[in-house]
Amino acid sequence: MWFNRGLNREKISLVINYVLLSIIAIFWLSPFTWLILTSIDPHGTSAFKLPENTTLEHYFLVFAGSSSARWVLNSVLISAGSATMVLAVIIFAAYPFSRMQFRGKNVILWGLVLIRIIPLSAFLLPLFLFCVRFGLLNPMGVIVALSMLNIPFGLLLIKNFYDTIPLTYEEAAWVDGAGIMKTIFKVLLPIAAPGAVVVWFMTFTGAWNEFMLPFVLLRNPDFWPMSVGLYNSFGLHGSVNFGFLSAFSIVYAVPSVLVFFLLRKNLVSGLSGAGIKG
Amino acid sequence: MVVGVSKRPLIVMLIPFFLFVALLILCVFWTLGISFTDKALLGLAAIHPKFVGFKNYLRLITHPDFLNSMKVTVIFTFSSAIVGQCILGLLLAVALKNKKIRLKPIYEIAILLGWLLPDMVAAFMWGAFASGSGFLNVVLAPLGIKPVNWITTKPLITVIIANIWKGTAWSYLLFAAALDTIPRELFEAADVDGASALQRLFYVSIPILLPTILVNILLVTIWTFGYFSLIYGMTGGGPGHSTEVISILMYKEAFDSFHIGYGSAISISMTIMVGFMSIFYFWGQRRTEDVVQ
Repeated sequence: MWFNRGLNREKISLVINYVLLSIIAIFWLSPFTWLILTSIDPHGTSAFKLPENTTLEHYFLVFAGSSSARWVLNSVLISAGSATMVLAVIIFAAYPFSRMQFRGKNVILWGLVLIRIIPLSAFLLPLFLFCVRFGLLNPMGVIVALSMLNIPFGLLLIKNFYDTIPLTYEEAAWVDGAGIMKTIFKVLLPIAAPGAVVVWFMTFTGAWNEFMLPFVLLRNPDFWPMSVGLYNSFGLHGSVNFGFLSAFSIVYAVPSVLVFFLLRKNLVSGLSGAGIKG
Repeated sequence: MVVGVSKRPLIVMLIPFFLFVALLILCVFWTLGISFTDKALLGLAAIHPKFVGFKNYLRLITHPDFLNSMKVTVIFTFSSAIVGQCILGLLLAVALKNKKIRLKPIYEIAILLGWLLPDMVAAFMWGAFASGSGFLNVVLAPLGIKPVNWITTKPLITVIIANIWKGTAWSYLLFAAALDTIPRELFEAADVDGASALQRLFYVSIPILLPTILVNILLVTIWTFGYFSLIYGMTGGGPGHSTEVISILMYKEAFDSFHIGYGSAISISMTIMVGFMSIFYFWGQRRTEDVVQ
């Protein structure tokens, strides 16, 4: 009827919305269903099929297998190492950037934004040559390289946090006889703690997901993190153990997914605030 | 800065930071130097590299492999980043903005999961998903499409779709956050004027979001331009050179063929191209900040 044509149009567009969204959701989720089903199927293959019986043996093997357990450990060490090193450098360095006026400060800050958006593959060869020159073709080299790449983002974020803290807080601390170290640890850091947490976890997941850098720098399987271990397990050998690798993939993916949902609120504002203000 | 506090400790605090950043920049200039030599990873040229001038760069612009990789990179970046991620991300943000849509968290998580996965997990998963016996063929079967191994028959299209699958969530998050900043009154006014959903999109949302959209297109283009892991994990650049984007070519020249000098030249040209795009990005950032203020 002519008088509720508008209403119908609204309904039709809602239905179209639902249909398209559902197609997208199904398409987006379908690879996962294979991954999850295969990880609990004792005879999993690359084909999609419902398992006849289920097992958690593959998950057990991830932590019990000598090389895979080692890769898990390496991933934890590399990621936690880079995250801690980045944080240790920037909680101090961000302070002068926030409070001091010096020549070239803005140029440096814009330069940091530039380093942050340039893709890693442009830095790969330079970092490789650096690690060869200084004997760093080991997990330590990966930690140093990842720290170099993540310091710019962390510094910008923590500086923004410091900028919001009124100077009077520091003046009060100064009057009470606190030195700079004490002021940073007792006054600024407690306020900037959410930012520090975001930087730590962002660097952690970035390093955790990273493939290219450890792939190039680490040739010894004992040094590999999970990304390189996973690649070499499905890339090289003729017979691929799909069940085990699916379980391995899920174990590998869990921290990245978890961190995002735990920090989601802070992350989105932190990510989109990549630019510098004032 | 508190008046009267000594600046010396502050300068000490900056030293480790400058050490890291200076080292990174130094490395890039070092690579620039090496790109003018015939340095190799093995053999005589590894110990005593010779200066060869612009030979590596001349080889670059005449070599079919490099020209092919540029073509593949442009196709990959344009279709997966600009057409795929940005447009799909925008449409999803607009569609999920609709208050009448229920189950929003489920749609959101479906898109986000792919983005959150480590690259190698996505590569492994897609390798099996798009294989001949894989789940993709099960999904496509009702449409009358015969099962094939998508990675060997349609490699470039498959990695493009995999990258759209992987990366759309970023654009979605950014656009959804930007849509929240548009005042409700504008949409209400459009409703009063009898605008349809499409008209609201084209006459209200897009004009207001235009700066954000442009900046995001540049950012996603820059990232996709240098993307390595997902493509390398899925196809290794093959079959042949069909999915060999520039970062994979650089990797292969430097680490499979051991031509460090030539690889450096590719690396430097990549940096220059990305730097060039970044200029537009900065310009756009400045412009959006002007608009916001």
